[in-house]
Parts: sequence; structure tokens; C-alpha cells
Amino acid sequence: MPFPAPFVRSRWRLARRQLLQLAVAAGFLRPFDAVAAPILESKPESDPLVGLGAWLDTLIPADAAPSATSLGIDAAIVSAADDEASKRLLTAGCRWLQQQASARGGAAFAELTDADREAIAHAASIAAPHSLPRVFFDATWSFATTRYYSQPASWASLGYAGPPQPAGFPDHDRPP
Amino acid sequence: MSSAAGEPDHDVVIIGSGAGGAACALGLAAHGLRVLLLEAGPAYDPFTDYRLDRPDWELTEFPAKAAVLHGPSFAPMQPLDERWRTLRSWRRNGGLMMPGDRRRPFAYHRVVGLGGSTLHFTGEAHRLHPAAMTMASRFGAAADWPFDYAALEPYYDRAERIIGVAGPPADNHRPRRGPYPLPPHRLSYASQKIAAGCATLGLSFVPNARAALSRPYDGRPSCNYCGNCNRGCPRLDKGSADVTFIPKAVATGRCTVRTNARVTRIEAGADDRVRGIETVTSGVRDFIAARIVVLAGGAVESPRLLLASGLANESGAVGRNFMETLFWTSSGLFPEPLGSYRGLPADGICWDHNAPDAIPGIIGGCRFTNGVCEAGLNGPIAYAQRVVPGFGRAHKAEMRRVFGRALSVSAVGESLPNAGTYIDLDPGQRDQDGVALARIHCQLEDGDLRRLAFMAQTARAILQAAGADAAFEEYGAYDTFSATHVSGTCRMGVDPQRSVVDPGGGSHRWRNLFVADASIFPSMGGGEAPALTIAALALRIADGIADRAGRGEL
Repeated sequence: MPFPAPFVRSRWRLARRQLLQLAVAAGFLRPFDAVAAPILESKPESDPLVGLGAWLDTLIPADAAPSATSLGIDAAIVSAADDEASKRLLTAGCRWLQQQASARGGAAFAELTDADREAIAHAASIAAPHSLPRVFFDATWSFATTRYYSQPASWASLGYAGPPQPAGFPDHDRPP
Repeated sequence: MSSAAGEPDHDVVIIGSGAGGAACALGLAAHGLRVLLLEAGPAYDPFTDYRLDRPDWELTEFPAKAAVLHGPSFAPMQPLDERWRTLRSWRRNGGLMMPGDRRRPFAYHRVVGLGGSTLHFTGEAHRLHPAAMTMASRFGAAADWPFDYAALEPYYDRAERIIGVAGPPADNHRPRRGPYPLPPHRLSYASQKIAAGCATLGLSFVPNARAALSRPYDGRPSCNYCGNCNRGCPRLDKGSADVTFIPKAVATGRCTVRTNARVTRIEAGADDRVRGIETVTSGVRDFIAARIVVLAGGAVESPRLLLASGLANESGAVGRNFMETLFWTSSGLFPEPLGSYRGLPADGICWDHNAPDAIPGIIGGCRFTNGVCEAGLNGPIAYAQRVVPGFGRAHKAEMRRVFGRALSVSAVGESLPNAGTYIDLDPGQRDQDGVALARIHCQLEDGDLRRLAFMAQTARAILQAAGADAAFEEYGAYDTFSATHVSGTCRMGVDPQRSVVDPGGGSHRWRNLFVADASIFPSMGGGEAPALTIAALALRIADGIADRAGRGEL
């Protein structure tokens, strides 16, 4: 029987469903929390998801390996968010990004310096568990890493010679 | 399914196609009996269903085809105790995995499909430690097996040859009539580090007996060490029932397989005999008359069906004596590259604490293995989300530094039955066929927790001795029910007042009703994986049924 690893499978069962679960769990089909409500009630930008690509590239920037948007994660997350809760989460998250950019004197999140964008992402990553920034961070981070690292273009810099089949790892008993 | 004259077309109907049902089918068909093997789920095609060749392989666990609509449900579990706080499941990335102050259910892991849970098993092919079969007489725990290891040994040998087990040349604790059919697998590079750590602590770490081919065997290729046995083996080298027992049974010409056939009831007849079973196949209800019925649904489903049918519970023991999986895994990072995603899961094992009196002051044993692949720490997504903290450039840089360096030590220990751990029928929940769900009640007692604490302490010590840094993730059974190895709920014994089936697997009352799965285990050993014992026991039961049928007793 398999070893009963209880937490292996729960986090990335399906990236799309995961996005929905996080959105629903955070109340994005219900009245929003104190942070989200005024954001969603504010006047929308012409593109409600403006800044999303820059956000994803803040989470997974280009270095020796491609950035998130280079591997199409921005299009993938928009495609996956085909339910009301997920759409509202992404929209609210992007508006929050714009608010943060404005607070730092920027016209748009994408135009901020790397340091400012990383500071905003850090703030979101440690925000209160059910707040909009935290849920937005958790959902997009989880989705992005799942999709990004399921593409061979992300593997080369890790030295990973996957997928596991058909070649397997016949050198398994030797140093990598 | 019967002939025009109303006589069954088959001599034996077997319910369930996992390790027990499949082995029993082969055993009976080899004796010339006509077998109908029923499986509630679908058949799998390893070449098309197990897509480990896809870039997104890591997104999928074992590809469940059949929605598990049968439950089980879980009764509320015990409150947690501050004394055992070091046994909480936690991760550096995220804190407690099971927040709250009570033990919580995660899953009863199984596969509903032809071959049952052997489809996703790791494939450790263990014989029980002989001393673990006399727990009651030696330690006052569980129950004694009604026969000794020597009576089971020929069937172990036969099952190993059918499967193609690869194992080490010597086993000091489990007498063998001959060597394993295949030589042992080489230890992976990561397992070599664990072996070195064990040696530092004065512990042994030897090649594990594995139902994975180390050489081509019986028309199947050898393993290529992809590390993903639990996601389904697309090469057929893993000895799951669907590529071993079942095709051999069908090849006799006397075994018919019917998939997607859910059994809802076993029907009692006259003269202490059962007369057949009710099934739902693709939505159509049917009655199948049977001369002999063998139940092999496992330690949760078998008692469920007996309780739902009102059968074989004269002793009141059906569903009692449930034994779950006591498990622990500690994971850390090795300071140098290991490529630890490579290799056969659990390819090496430390048996030193496996005997029931091997842990000082604690009854019941345990064992330790390399747990990297079974823990799912064998792909980039796992590292990105479970191992490496943060985000951005720092995260990517750390990914490059640590990928392939995860090292895990896993332990499985003896689970002893107690009055608070049992299966009953859930009065409030039914499946799509109207059958009450099995409900799991579980209580870890002080001895279990002390054993688990020893397992955690030793796993940490091995990990440290191997050279790994401080753990980044640990989880175990203390706060989480997550069971794969389950047994005990239709206990086998000689006393009809205290057991459900006799030493031949037959109901003490119902003369043509047998059980051939882990539910009949009186005890389950010090962490041994049960599949080989289930298969050996089922082959033995098949021999007994054939003997009795030959004498006209059935």
C-alpha cells in the first residue's frame, strides 16, 4: 500500500479547483471583508486585471529560467478563473495592487520598481489569513507555482531530467 | 448470472479484486473451480491511465476513475494532549497541517478498480514477523493467529513467485524455503545516505523486499526507478494484482471478471448457507446465485457488507478490532545534491525494531524506510510549495540550490486493536445504492502514542545521522487519520464466540461464506506492509475451499 502521506495531494490536486476553493473559502461568493468591499465597489479600471502579469512576474521573475508570464501563467490563470468567485478574487486583487501602487506614488503596479513590487508581495504574503491580500497571494502563488513547475522550460535550471517516464532514472544509485 | 436451469454458472463468486480477491481467484481457478470475480470499480489501462510521461505528471495523484461514493464516514476523534505536542504534523511553509485540538480524519486511502489498492500501493512485499502472530499469548494484545508462520510460508513463497518479488538474499527473522525470485534492487543514492546514518547509530538498513522487478520477469520489464509507484506503474513492472494474479486467473479459462459491479447485499439462504448476492452493475440491479461466496473488500468494506447484510456476526465481532496505520515521516534537506527524486520508493528498510518486543518498554514493533517518494517530495512543484519558503528571485535561487536534496525517513508501526476503534454502519449516510456507509471510529491509546513517539524520535535521529539539516516537514498519525494499511474487522480464530471466520477463512456459521482479505488478520505486525500476507492468506484459503468443495462439503 502507499505510505499514507496525508498532505501530499491536497494542495495542488487541480490548480483550477484550488483557485476556486481559495476564493470561496475567503468569502468571494459572499459579502466581502472590510478590505475587499470598498475595493470592489470602487470604479473599475478599463482592464479589471491590469497589473496581473506584473504581479505574477513578481512572484516568479525571470532569471536563469523564464518568468511566469513567459510561460503563459497569466493567460492560464485567467482561463482557469471561469467561475464567479475566482473572477471576483482576481479582480479585487488587481485593484488592491493598483491601490498599493498609488499609495507608493506610482501610476500602476507594473511601473513600480522591483523593490516596491516585492515589498507589496511580501506584505500580502504575511497579511491576516482571511484578508483579501493574503487570499489573493495564496491563490495566485499556489496556482502560479503549480503551473510554472509543470512545464519543462522551468526544469532545466533545476537540473531536473523529468518527467519520470518513459526514461525513468536508471542512474538512481549514483551521485546526480 | 445463472444457467437456464437456475444453477449458477460459477462455483465461486468473489467480491473484490484487490490482493485478496485476485489471489483467491487464481488459487480457485487453478484448482478447476469456475470463478466470477466482481469489482466495484473499472479496469485500468496502465499505458493510457498512468501518464508519468506528461510534463504535468506531478499535478495528478493516482488517477481515480470511480468516484468513491461509498464513504467511509468518520466518528469524532479524540482530543489532542499537550503531552504529545512533539507529534503534531507541521511544515516550515505553513505551520500546523492539522490545526485544532482534536485528531482529524484525512483519508482512508484505497483504489476502487480492478486490482484494488494494489494499483497505487508502493509494493513492499513483506512477510509477517513470526513473533507478531502470537501477540495475545506472548503479550496479551490483539489475538493469536490460529496457525503459525510455517503454515503460511509455502503460500508466501508461491505469492512471491507469482508477483516476482525482488529481495535480499538473507532474512534472519523470517525463515524462507528459498531465495526471492529476483535479486534485490540497488539502493538509491539517497537511500545510501540513510543507510550510512543508520550505520552511525548502530542500525541496519538493508534492501527492502519489493514487488517491483529487478530483472525482466514473466513477460514484464524491469523497473526503471522513476519513483512513482503510488501514481500507478505504466511499465507493468510493479506487481499489482491486475498484472499478476488476475491475468493468470483469467488465462485458466475458468475466471470471469466483471467490473463496475457493486455488491449491495449477501443474501442468506436455508441451512446456514448464503444463496447469492445482490449487485448493481451500471445502474442495473441483479441477483447472482452462488454456491460459494468469498468476500474480499478489505477491512472497511467487508465488515460493512456483512453488517448491511445482517450476516456472520454471531460473535458480535464484525467491525471490531479495527487496526489502522500508525505512521510518521520526518523530512530534511541534505547539504549536497542527492537527486533524491530518483529510485524505487522505500527501497531500503531498517527492521531492527520490527519484532513485537524490540522497542524498549513498548509492545509492538515498527520499521523505517526512505520516504522521499512516498511523501511526494519527488517533483519541482512539491519543492516550490512545501520545501522552499518565500517567493520571487530568492525563491527561485533556493529552488536551484535545494532541488533533489530532500531526504525523508518514514516509519510504520504496529496498530493494536482496542475497544474504541471499530467500524460500524453510519445511521445517517447511505451510498448511491442505498447501503449505509461504513463509519470509522478510532482511538489511539497510550501504547500507540508511545510507539509513535519512538518512531518519530528514531526517524529524526536517522535523518540527523544521515547528515540532513533540521527537518522542514513532519507528519504522522497522532493528529491525522490517514490510513492505507487497515485490518482486523472480521477476525480469524478458532473460537466462534470471539472471531468471525475460522482458520480457513470460512464463517463460523455460514458454511459457504468466506472472507479473504486483511479484515481477518488477528494482528498486523510491526509495520509490515500487508499486501503479500493478504495474497498468501487468500491462496491458502483457496486451497481450503477447493479441498472442501472436492469433498462435497460446499
